[in-house]
Amino acid sequence: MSGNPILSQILLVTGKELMDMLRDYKALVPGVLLGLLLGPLLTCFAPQMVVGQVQKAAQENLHVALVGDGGQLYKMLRSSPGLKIVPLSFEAAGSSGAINDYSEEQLLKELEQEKVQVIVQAPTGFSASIDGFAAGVPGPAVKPELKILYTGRNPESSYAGIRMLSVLNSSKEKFMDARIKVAGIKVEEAPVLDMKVVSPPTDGLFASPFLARVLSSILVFVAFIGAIYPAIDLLTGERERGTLEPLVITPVSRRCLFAGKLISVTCISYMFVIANLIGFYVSQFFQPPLLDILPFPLAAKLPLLCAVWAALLMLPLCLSLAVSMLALAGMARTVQQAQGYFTSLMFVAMLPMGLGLSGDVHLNLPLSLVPFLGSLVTINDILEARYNPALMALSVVVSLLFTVLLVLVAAPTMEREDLMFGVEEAPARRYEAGKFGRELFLLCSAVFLLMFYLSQSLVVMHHIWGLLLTQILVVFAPAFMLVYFWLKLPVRTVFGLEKPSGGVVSCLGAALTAPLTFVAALAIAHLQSQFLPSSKALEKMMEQILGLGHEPLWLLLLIVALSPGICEELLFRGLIFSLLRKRLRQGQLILAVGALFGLFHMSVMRFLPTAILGMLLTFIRLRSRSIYPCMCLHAAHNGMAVLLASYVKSDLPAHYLVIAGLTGLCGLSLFLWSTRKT
Amino acid sequence: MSLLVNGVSKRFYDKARGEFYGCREISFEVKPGEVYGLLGPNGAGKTTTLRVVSTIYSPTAGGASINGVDIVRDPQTARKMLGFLSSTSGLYERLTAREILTYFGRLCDMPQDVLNKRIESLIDALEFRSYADTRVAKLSQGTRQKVSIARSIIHDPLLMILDEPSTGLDVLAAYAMHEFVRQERADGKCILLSTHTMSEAEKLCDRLGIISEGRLLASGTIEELKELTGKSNLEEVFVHLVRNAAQAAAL
Repeated sequence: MSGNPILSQILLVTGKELMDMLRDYKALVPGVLLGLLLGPLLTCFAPQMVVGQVQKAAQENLHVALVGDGGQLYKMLRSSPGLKIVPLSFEAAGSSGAINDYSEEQLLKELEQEKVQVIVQAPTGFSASIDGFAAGVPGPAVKPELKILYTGRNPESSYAGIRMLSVLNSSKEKFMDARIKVAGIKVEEAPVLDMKVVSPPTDGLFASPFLARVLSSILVFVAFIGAIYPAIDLLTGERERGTLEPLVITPVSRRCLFAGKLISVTCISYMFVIANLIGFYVSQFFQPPLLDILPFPLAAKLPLLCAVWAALLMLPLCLSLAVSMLALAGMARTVQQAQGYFTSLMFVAMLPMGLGLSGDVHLNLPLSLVPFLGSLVTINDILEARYNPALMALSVVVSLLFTVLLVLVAAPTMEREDLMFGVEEAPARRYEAGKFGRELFLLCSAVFLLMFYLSQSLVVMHHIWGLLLTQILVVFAPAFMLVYFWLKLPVRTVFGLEKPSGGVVSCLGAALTAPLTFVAALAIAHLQSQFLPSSKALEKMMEQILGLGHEPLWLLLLIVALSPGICEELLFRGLIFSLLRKRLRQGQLILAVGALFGLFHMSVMRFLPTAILGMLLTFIRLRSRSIYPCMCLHAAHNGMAVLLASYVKSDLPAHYLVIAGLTGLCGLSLFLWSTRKT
Repeated sequence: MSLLVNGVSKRFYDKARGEFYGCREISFEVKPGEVYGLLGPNGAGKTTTLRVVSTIYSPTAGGASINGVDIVRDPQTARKMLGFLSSTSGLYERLTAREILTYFGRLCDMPQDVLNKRIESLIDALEFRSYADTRVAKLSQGTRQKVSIARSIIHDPLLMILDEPSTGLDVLAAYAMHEFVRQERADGKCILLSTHTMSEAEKLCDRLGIISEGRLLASGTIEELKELTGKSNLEEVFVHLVRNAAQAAAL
């Protein structure tokens, strides 16, 4: 191998894996075909079908039945072109125009059975009223209200309903003209309206609203589909077929093998994306011409530059998806198990669809900081010709950094005997060695998903009690179950339920630090508000949902201060701290636990204040070797927020903040003094 | 060239059994031109030992060296010197035999011209030329076995590790496998194999290690083992050693 030997090895593995995958026609052909055909299907054939039905309906005579007092109506409509007045199935031919009355149920049944496309029902006295009106008798005896019955289940009937309305309106106009003539009123011709459509210049880079809404979601979906199968085949499949052992004893390192597989999966996933883009791009030239007359935005227009941008932005996304899929495939013991995992994940891949279809989400600073979603919104914005180069560049950088992070986390997958060969160590030994990456990943995923889905429902349904339930069910229960039931680890040691090194004084010092952390959180929030849009509206909405203003103080302190002080500390400074402790140096540990604590709060606005608080709490846990001082500080910090919200309605005066800061510094000093090394 | 295995242990854990050792303090040596067999019942720890020696698993304790190269400290170099073949080893179904051999040869960093010559000679030696360019999915079990053998020795390793090599093979394929082992021994290679059949051990192995419950109970030539146990044939030697070990463990 010439050149860089590691690169040559990676490319060698990539080449083989791609050749292997591309020969799997059964799996590949449907995927590529789906990618290629989705565009034409959505942009040409689906609208073509709608257009075809409408065209057919437009060419054929409208089959209309008249019921009720329809004598005058019959006279009005019989000469209308494209209309054929037919009797109902239970009427005798030629009876139209006679006064008859049927129940609405009977008429709907007639429509359901497609015996007639539309029915016009005239009220009793309608003919007499119209006659009187025509003769110039003022004030019609009966309001001439006509009912048009059609069924929305049948497109032809729907179209017939709309057409009937237009015919009746035009008859009404004719009737009015005649009436005006009879009355001898002179009406001046209305001035001709001069209409001009003004649209902002888009430099030819504007995709149609239809594509702008669906394309990014479809691209992510096909990228996901394109990554799943190769990931399972190249990792879980390799193990199941017995080809993994010969492979890992070759002189090529397992990281190189993983890198080769990763590039292959990315290529296949990206191939699906490109096939899809080609499908959409080409199909725009073969769209049915009648699309413009439809009242909804079905026309597909995809400028080449938009397609190229979308393709470029999808590359890091495909890499992120590929590495995630490979890491997940590594966790499955068998192909069947992996397929089970991924089937449920398919629903997660469908989530961006909602984001795209809502249509009114655009790139802003918080969104551009969210990997994956930020890229999706960027693609949407490009398709809508909304350019914000700074935010787009930020979003791309965040996406790339996220991808690099994922690759670094997943790179040792093939080096791990537990994942590759199911060689496990006893939990107690793994705890000693700090080898709990998999459990930590599952725990964090479970907690974050539960926070996202269950917590919101709990809060909406049970208001403030929902917060307590969240703490118990989402925060505490998964942590406790993992330690006690699954890993069977010593609860006391793992959760840090030990006597703090500084005794009660360290707990007191930690609690007294709360004014400082609170002031710091206010300062950070203030600084953030200079750069990020305010979330006051959101806070107010949350307050209304929770009904915080109406609850007694003791309850607020119990639920907002004490329960997170216990439950969140047990999870973050207890379990997560213990699982990461052996793996990371102190500085890294403080940063990692703090960042996870910040992410847990699921708000861009709250990330920085909570992450910094989390870091301080982790430092306290490290220094005191106990979770109790952390609980005291956390509860006191939240308690201060509750008390101030209850008693102080305006902004705090500056000198209060200084006093609070100094008190907190004293508390921190007390903590540091009490936990000093003797 | 020799293989030195020194106190290798591998610990496992599962929820039902708790913690247990797949192999424990296993030590032996395989000299050049020698076939060393690990003989033991199913679940004795043969495969675990071979997997540790072939660097698939990392040892919990102990280690091994191939020609002086430590398999734990420098696994990449050690891997260049060993070939591993197991009855459960699979092949890439969508690749042809020649493509598989090329892939593994290049993974072992063989120059292209040397690799091409080696592939041709192996195809002739193992007699599968007519199937060399057929995808593996269409090959018979016997031909697959030949391709597997060729794959494991494509880089001409000094140490061959064979895990129950004739399991699942018909008489002819098993015979061909035995021929292959003899040929490798004649070429001066070290061969470490595992088996649970007495006849195969007697036919192929120069020295044997009797293994049970993860421990090496005895090691030596068949004659030495007979002498050690006072038994007249290998089957009796084996049963005697394994039962004694079980009784000792029960006590």
